[in-house]
Amino acid sequence: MRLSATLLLTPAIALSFVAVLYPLATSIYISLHNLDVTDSGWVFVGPKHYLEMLSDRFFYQALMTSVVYTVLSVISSLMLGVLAALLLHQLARGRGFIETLFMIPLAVSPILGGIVWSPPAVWDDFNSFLHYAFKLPLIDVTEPVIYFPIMVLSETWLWSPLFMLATLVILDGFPRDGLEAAEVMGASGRHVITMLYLPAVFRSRVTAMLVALKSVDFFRSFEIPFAWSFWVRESQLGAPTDTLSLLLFKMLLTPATDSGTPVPYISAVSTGLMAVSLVVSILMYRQITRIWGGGVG
Amino acid sequence: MNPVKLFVYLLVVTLTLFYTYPLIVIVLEGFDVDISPLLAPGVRLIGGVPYYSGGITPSLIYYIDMFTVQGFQKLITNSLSIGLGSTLIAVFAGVFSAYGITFYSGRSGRLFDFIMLVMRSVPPFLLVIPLLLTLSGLGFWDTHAGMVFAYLTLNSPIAYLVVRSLMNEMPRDLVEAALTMGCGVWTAISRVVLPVLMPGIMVTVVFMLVLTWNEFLLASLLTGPVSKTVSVGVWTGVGEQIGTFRTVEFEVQAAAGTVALIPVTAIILLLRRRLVKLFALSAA
Repeated sequence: MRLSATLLLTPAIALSFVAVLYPLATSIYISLHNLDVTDSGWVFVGPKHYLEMLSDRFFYQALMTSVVYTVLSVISSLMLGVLAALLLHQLARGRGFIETLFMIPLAVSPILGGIVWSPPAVWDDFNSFLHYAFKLPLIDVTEPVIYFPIMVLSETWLWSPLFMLATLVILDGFPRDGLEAAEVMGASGRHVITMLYLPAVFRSRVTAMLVALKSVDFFRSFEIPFAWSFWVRESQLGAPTDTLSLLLFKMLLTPATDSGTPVPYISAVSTGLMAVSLVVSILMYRQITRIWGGGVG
Repeated sequence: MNPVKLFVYLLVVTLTLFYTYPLIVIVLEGFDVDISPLLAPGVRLIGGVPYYSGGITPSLIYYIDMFTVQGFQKLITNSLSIGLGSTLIAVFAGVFSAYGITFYSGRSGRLFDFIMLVMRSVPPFLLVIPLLLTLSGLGFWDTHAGMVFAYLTLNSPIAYLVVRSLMNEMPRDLVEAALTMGCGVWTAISRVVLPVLMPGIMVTVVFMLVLTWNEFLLASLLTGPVSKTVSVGVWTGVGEQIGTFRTVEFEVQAAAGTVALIPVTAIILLLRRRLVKLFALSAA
């Protein structure tokens, strides 16, 4: 029994080797070395790259961009998703069909999500609509004040259907007694929404889990900022489009200098981020396992 | 009609436009049809300046070019073989790991779940740099086998988490009864666990295929002319250009995007209500 129990845990152990140990150990190793292309390879330099990171202006800028991007994307996806779900829930007929239409963006790959709202696709149409219908001057999309919100909008377009689906599950599962009681007490439709539905949605574990996980995903977001850095020609390091992932991607494409390749520095930044997220996750261990057990299990 | 109802319908129409209009534009652009509200048919805007493009003339030219000259079908077979390979291995490993963790580990199972949940959301470059160095060092850069391995490291935590949540929902008594009756571990998995979980596992496989089909960052850095995948092809075209900051004509992107979108849309619409859990656990 003892032996077979150990044997049965081998797949899990193998899994943690491939998916956890290999990338972590390699990244930590690389981040502590310097790679000299002309010389014999890896030279140990200690925490040099981590110190470099702490004094890197671009790093702080990208960190700030990522944080703002994440907060805006999560809030707008959640709000729009909940709004869409409340609307669909009110519909007497045709709900299935419209729900299907609203769901389609979930099939769109993130890189295509960076294409659909671009100037050649929707933006020029929208811009000209505003120009000819409301006599507004043509809006210059290459201004960060304009394209940053459109990037967030693309993210919202892609992911708000997920929040919508989750909200619909909660609304459809709402106990009938509660609604009937509200009706008997003479609650209006507005009261039902603000005092029954919205609290149920925002207190649910499913919503909490989605918000937490999508926040992490928006923070790592790469494809949409990448596509937009092309549309608005922001290919230099430290551009306003640069989220952390995009900054590291651009660094990877910059050629090696005398002091070595940027690869160890990129690993140092990733390892640093990983360490932070690990510490935060451990501090929140109880909440995370509770949400995981309640929302999914 | 009362004003509240009217307001609801107006909002629904607005949202429908919001969610579908960008896709309509993309699909039509692939056929070289440019629609702009409030403009005369055939008038296009380039940087805000209207000019007459000779009317609306839908054409299949971008599709014909994509499949006969460029060979887009090669990217589709690449994506399918890489996706199938990594998905099958990841789900296989996920089933066995989840079985071991669910039935043979006490409280440490929760810790393992926690680690996998953390690994699901690693910074992407924590995977990219080791993979880039390992694969190019071993001569596996731009090969199908290399990409299968890359997606294995990316997706196996997700496969594990999904299968594990399926197994948690499964009645434990069933497996325990089978084991008490004296059936071996392998029989318990193949005769009891797998048949019960099969629908869920099929859904997992299909969904993981969608994830690898849509994945862009790893594919753009780890593939070249040989094993380029569909989502990279949507951005850079099929040609052998490596510089990712150059791209192709917009109509080509639109046509490729449409082709990439069709199978995934069908799958996503079929999965429906399961999507919340699947997307939550995955890191798309």
